[in-house]
Amino acid sequence: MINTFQQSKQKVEQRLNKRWRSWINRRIPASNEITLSQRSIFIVPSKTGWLFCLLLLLLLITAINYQNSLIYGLTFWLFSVAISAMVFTYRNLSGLNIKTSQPINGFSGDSIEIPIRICAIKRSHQGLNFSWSLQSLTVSTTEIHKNEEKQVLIPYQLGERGYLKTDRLRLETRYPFGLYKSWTWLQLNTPGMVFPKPIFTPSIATEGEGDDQPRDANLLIGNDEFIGLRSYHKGDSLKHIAWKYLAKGKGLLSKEYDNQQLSMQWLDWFSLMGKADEEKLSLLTGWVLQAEQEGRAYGLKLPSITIAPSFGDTHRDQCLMQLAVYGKQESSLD
Amino acid sequence: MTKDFPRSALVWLLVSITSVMIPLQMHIPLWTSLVFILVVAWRWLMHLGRLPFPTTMIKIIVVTLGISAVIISTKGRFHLEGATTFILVASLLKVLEIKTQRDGYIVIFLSFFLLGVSFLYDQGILAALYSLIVVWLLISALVGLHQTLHRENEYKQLFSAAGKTSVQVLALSLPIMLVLFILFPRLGPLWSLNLQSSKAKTGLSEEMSPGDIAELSKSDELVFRVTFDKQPPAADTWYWRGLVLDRFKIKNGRAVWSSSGVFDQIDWYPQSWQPEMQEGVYDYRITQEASDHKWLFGLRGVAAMESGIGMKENDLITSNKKLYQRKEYRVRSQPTIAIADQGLRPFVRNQSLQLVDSSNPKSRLLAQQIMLENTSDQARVDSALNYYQANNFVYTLKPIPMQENDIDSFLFDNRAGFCAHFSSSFVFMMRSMNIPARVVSGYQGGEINPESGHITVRQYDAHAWAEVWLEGKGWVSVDPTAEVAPQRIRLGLRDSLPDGDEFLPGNNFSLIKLSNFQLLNDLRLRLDELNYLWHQSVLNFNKDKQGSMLKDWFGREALKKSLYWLAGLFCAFLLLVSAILLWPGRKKKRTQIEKSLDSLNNKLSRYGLNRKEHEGLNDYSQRLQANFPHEAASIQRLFDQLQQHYYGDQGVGDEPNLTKFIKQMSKRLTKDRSNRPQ
Repeated sequence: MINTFQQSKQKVEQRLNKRWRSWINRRIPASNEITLSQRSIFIVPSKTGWLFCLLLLLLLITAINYQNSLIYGLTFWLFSVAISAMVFTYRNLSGLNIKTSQPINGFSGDSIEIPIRICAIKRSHQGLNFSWSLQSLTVSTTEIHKNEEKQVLIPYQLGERGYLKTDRLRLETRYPFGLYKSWTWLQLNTPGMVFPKPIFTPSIATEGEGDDQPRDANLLIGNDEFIGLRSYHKGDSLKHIAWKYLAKGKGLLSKEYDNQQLSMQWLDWFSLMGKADEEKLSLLTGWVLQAEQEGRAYGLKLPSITIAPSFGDTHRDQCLMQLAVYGKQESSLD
Repeated sequence: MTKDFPRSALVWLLVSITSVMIPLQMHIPLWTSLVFILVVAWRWLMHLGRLPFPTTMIKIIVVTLGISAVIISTKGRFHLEGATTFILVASLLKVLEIKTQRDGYIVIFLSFFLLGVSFLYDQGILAALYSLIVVWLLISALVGLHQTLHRENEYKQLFSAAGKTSVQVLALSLPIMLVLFILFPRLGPLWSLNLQSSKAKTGLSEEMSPGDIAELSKSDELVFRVTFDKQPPAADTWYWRGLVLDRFKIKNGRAVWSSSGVFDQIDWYPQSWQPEMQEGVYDYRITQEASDHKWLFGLRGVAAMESGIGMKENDLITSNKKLYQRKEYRVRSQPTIAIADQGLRPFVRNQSLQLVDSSNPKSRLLAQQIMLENTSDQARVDSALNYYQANNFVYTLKPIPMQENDIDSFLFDNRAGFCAHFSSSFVFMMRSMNIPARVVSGYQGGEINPESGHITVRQYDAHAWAEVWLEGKGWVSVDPTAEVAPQRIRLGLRDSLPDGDEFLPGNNFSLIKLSNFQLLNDLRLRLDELNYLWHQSVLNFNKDKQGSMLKDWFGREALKKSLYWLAGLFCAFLLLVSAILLWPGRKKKRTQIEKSLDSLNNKLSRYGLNRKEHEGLNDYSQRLQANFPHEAASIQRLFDQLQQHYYGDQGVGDEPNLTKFIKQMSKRLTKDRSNRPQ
C-alpha cells in the first residue's frame, strides 16, 4: 500500500519535474548570451521577507490596540518599503548582460572554474550569487559597476566525458534589503570538452601487454636515422630543434628523422580487451598524457578512427577529443 | 546558506540600535544603559579582534543575568516598561552574538519593533521627526547587511551607497504610506489592553489633602486642550471641573477630601441630559491626554455629547473606559444653569454636611461665630470669604507644613497656603455652619493660543475650589482663593506668585519660563500651535475621524469606495515607483559615424549583408569584399579607417571625413548591388 503510494508519488514528481524542465526550457532557452528581463527573472519573498511580514503584523496589532497613529504610520511606511523593495531587488538583476566566455576543457571529475562574462549596461549590480542548480559547490559572489564588463569564474565539477554541457546556472540576489530573493536560471552553453578521466599506469607497455597480443603492437622502435632539416612547426619537440643552426642565425629548424623514428608507440583500443569501454577510454587518456609528457610520438587507434602517430599539443588535443566523443552521437568532428 | 556578517554593517547596526535606545532610556530602568554600553564595547572589541566570540557557557550566563535583572527590576509585575525592558535587553544581548547575516536581521527587526514601542511613550512632533532618522539608520543597516567589503578602504563608499539606497526607498515609499495612512480602515482595539505603563501619571488624584495641588504646580505637562466652536466665555470663568470631593476624613491629623460615591449613578449618552443650544450655551471639544482615570473635564452645567460618555448627578462627565490613550470628545456646557435648586435629596445633603466631630475645634468656633452674626446663608458665605481677606491671608506654593488640626493652624496661625488650603478650610467652615458644601478639584484657566484660538491647560493650572448649596439657587461655585489672590484666577499661576516663590521650580528647561522674552514667547506659542495641529490632524486621526472624513469625500458607501480608492492609488503609486526605478538611463549620444554606419547597415540588410552580431570588423570587411569584388579596395580602405578610428591612438578628429566616406560607400554599394541582375 505504502509502496504503491510512494511509487505513484515518485511518478508524479518525475512528471512534474519533466513539465517544469520543458517549461523553463521554453521560457529561458539555452543561449550564449542573455540580457536579463522580466522574462527571465523570478522573484519571491525570502524567509527574511516573511519574518518582516510578521514584524509588520505585530506592529499593526500594537497600533490597533493602543490606537497609536505613529505606530500605524511606521507600519504603513515599512509596508510600502517592503513593496518597493521588490522593485529594487528585481532591478538588481534586470538589464544585466551575461554571456559565455572562452572555451574550457578538462577531464571528467575535475574541479574547474567556468568563466562567464557579465556586463552592466544600465546600472550597477550588487550581491550577485552564482551557483549551479544541480551542484552544491561554493557560491561565488560578485558585483559590477555601471558600464563595466568583467569575467566571473564559477567553480564547477566536470561530469561525463563528451561535449561540455553545464547545468542551469542559478544567479540569485537578495540585494539591497534581503526581503526578496530574485533569481534566474541560465542555460549558458560554454563551449568545451570533457575528456575521459585519465587512469595512469606505471608503464604503458606492460599495461598494454596481453598474452594474446603481439609484442610489437604497442611498441615500435624505429632506427633513429636523421634524414634532414625542415622548418619548425608548432608542436615540434624541443629535442628536435637544430640548435646549432639557430645559433648560426639560420632560423628555427627541426631535425627530421626517418619515419618519426624516435621511440614510437601505438595506443590501441584493441589491446585492451576484456575491459569496459569507459575504462579503456580512461586508460588510453592516461597513456596519451604520459606519452606526451615523456616526449614520445604516439598514435591512437580507436574502433571509429585512427590517428597517425605524432606529438605536440595539437596532436594531444586531437587524441583527447576523439577519446572524449567516442561513442557519443554528436561526434561530428570537422 | 549562512552568510557572514559584513563588517561595515556592524557600524550601521551599532549606531542604529543606539538611536533606538536613546529615547527609550527615559522610560526604562537606568541599568539598561549600563548593559548597552557594555554590549557595544564588548562587541566592538570582538570586531577589532581583541576579544573572542562568547562561548555557549558565557552566553548562558549573560542571558540568565539579563533575564534576572529584568525580573528583579520589574518586581515580577507585567507592565509596559517591563515588556519594553525585556525586548530591549533581548536585542542588546543579540547584538553581542551577531555573527551571521541572520543575526543582523533579527536585531534590526527587533529595533523596528522597539521604535514602535517608543511611540507608546511619546508621540510628539519631535519624537516623530527623530524617528525619521532612526528608520533611515535601520534601513541603511539592512542594506549594509547585503554589501560585501572587498577592500578596507571601501568603507566610505559602502556607507554612502547604503545611505543613499535607504533614502531612495524611504522617499519612494512615502506616497504609498500616506495613502495607507488615510484610507486603510481603522479598527477599534482588538482586545482590552492590560499592558499599561506602570508610572503614575501626574495629575489630580481622587484624594486631596491640603498641599497636594502645590506638587502639581511644579509640572508644565499638558493635561488637555480645548477648542470652542464659537467665541469662548471670559477667561476668569474657565473652571474645568474634574472631581467632586465630598467626603471628609482625618488622616494623620490632617484633613483629606475624597469622593463619597453617592453620585455613582451614571446616565450614559444619549439618555443623559442635554441643554438646548442657545445664548450662554457653549459647544467645545476637549483633547485630553492619557490620565489612567475615567474622569473627563468640562465647564459647569456640562452635558455628555457622544457615546461612551456618561453624566453624573454632581455635574461631572465620565468616560466608560480609563484613558490610557489621548481622547478627544465633544462637550456642551451651560455654565449659568442652576443645579439642584429644587432641593437636595437627604443622603446627598447628609454627605455634603459630613464632618469629623473632634477635628479643628478653633475653626468650628469661628464658623459658629459667623453663623450667629449673619442671618442668611448667602451672608454667611460672604462673611466667611471676607475672613480670608480681612486677615491678610497669603497665597503661596510653599506653605509651612501643618500637622495636627491643619485647618486650624491654617486659619489662625500660618494664614499662608495654596488653593487646596483655602477650599478645604472654606468647605469645613461651611459644613460647620450646616450649609451643604463640597470641594471641587480640576483646572482653572489655561493659555489661549492667539493664532489657532485653542486653550492649553497644563498641570500647573490645577486648582481646587468650593461649591455650596443655597436654598433656591442650588449649587453655587465659590472660590476662596480668588478672594486672596484674584490675579491667580485672572492671570494664572505664572503671574500671580509672590516674589519669593519660583514658578516651576527645578524645571529649568521649561519653555514657559522664558515667556518674558517676547520673541521666545512667540516661538513657544508657534510651537504649541504646531503641536496642536499635529495632535489634531495626525495623532487624533482615529476610526471616527476617518469615518467622517471618508463620508465627506465619498458620501454613501464610503467604506467600499474608499477601499477601491485605496487599491487604485496603491497600484498607481507602485507603478510610479517601478517606473522611476526601472527607467532606462539616458542613452549615450550617438556619433555621426555611428548614425551613418547604421544607415549603411540598414541598406545592406536588404541583401542580407548587414553586420551580424559578434561579427568582428575584419570578418565583416572580408565578407563585404567577397560580395562586392569591384569595390574591394575601397571597402578595405574604409574598414582600415574604421579600425583606426575605434582602436587607433589618434584619428578621432577625422570624424566628418569618415562620415562622408561611409555615406559615399553606402551609395556606391547599393548602386552596385541594384545594377546586378537578381
